[in-house]
Amino acid sequence: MATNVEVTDSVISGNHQTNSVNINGKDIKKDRIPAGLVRRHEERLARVEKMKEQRENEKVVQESADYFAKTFNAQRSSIEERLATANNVAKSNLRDFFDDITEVAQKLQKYATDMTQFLPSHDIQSAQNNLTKLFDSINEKRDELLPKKKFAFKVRKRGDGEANKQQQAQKIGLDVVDAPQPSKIITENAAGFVNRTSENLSLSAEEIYLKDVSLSNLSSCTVKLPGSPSALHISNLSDCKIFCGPIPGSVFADKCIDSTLVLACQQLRVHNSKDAKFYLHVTSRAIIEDTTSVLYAPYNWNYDTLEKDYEESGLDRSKNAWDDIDDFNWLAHDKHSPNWGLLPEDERVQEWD
Amino acid sequence: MGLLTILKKMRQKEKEMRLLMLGLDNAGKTTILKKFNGEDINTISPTLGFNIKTLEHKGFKLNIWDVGGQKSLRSYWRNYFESTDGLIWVVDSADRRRLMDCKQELHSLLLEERLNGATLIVFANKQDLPGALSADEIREALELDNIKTHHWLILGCSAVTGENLLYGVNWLIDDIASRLFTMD
Repeated sequence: MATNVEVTDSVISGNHQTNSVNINGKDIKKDRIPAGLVRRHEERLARVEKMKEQRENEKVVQESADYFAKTFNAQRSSIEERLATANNVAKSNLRDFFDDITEVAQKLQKYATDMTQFLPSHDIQSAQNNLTKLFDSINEKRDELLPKKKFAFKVRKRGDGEANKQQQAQKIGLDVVDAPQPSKIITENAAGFVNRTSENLSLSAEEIYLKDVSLSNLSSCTVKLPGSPSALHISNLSDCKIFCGPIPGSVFADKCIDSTLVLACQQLRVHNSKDAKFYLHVTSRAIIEDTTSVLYAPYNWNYDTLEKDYEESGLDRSKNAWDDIDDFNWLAHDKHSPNWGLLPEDERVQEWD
Repeated sequence: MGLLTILKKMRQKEKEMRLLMLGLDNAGKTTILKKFNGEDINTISPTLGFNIKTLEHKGFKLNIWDVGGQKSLRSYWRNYFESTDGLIWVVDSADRRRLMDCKQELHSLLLEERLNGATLIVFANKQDLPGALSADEIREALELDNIKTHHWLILGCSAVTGENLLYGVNWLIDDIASRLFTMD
């Protein structure tokens, strides 16, 4: 291939060499004249092209400005005309009427904004002034005909309350473990304990391996999970002690009160909890939300197969962010969140039984 | 000439799409974003606030907004609705307990006026986990078939392996492009 290319190259340059012209009796190689000529010719072409483009652009700007002015003014006057009929609209329809008209005006505003890059600044300015006037007159009319702002507020508030109630109802439905629809989906692949009081509970490594373990509604219980589940969901604990082996995924703890949790995981999220202590190994990050008075210490549970479980879970033992918690209700960087702290060393339990 | 020329010029100038990525906490939004962008995904922690990535893909400039999904942040989602072309809803397919929550958040999102016309892709994420529900099961649980207001698609995917991410984003872009740039 390479030789082929070279051959054609030399053929071409050979042709050039023979292409000579006779000017003023002198034999000058054609290659030499064009160097200047061709350049000038190209420059001239480029200039022509550029001017053409400029003219074109000016035309477009002119056209678009005219077009814009026409459309804009037509829309504006149609809105104004509609607004003028406001006095004849039935009271019950007024709200819809104004909502509608505001929407149209907003669309017009958006149109104007979209067009700004094609319009001379004077046109933009005048369009903006017109829009302001338009919105002012809409608002004036609305205040005149619909002055009962307080009432409107009330209505909305009541609506929200109902929505909230509905939401709550659905949430409660979720918490009830044997709710009809979701339960089928939820219980598959799950293991765990529900509704227990004052018991010592445990599951073996085989029972939780690759399972989604759930602990909910427990009070005064001790739960030991010496193994590696894929995830752990905890909700509604009071006065409990929870121990779990390394979890490759996440732990979600909701409503844990007066409890101690000893956990190793990739990520920990604690919601709605209070007065809880965490002995924690977390490789990415632990966060709290709507939570107060929680204390953290490094993970220190030990059981027979801990080493093996650590290896299988893939958790990096050299990385532990147990003392650096993100509080989603405390976004100030310069001050420490008052909602969590470190458990003083002399208060930490050294040896679990 | 006239309006058409202007519109054409405008779009050519932009060729830009704004994608908003939302979902419950721990769904894997940031992981999807980072995986798609070829970044390390091992050190991701729950998003406190939001991440923005601008990347070139298929000749488009994609602005992807990844907003934290914790409950306290959801009220801020609305701040990101404006001029969204595509909505990426990410679901933790292994989190069966919060599917109802997830459904509710999604459907209330779709009522949002400023998201009208946005294309929706649902990523049934974490398909690599043993307990994950399939895309079809998620589709049923979230009642996606009731969505008539938006173009939508659900895809099983895994942010960890990268499975289906590219396919999903390509579908999203194509759908948006056919809507926005038809005049080109």
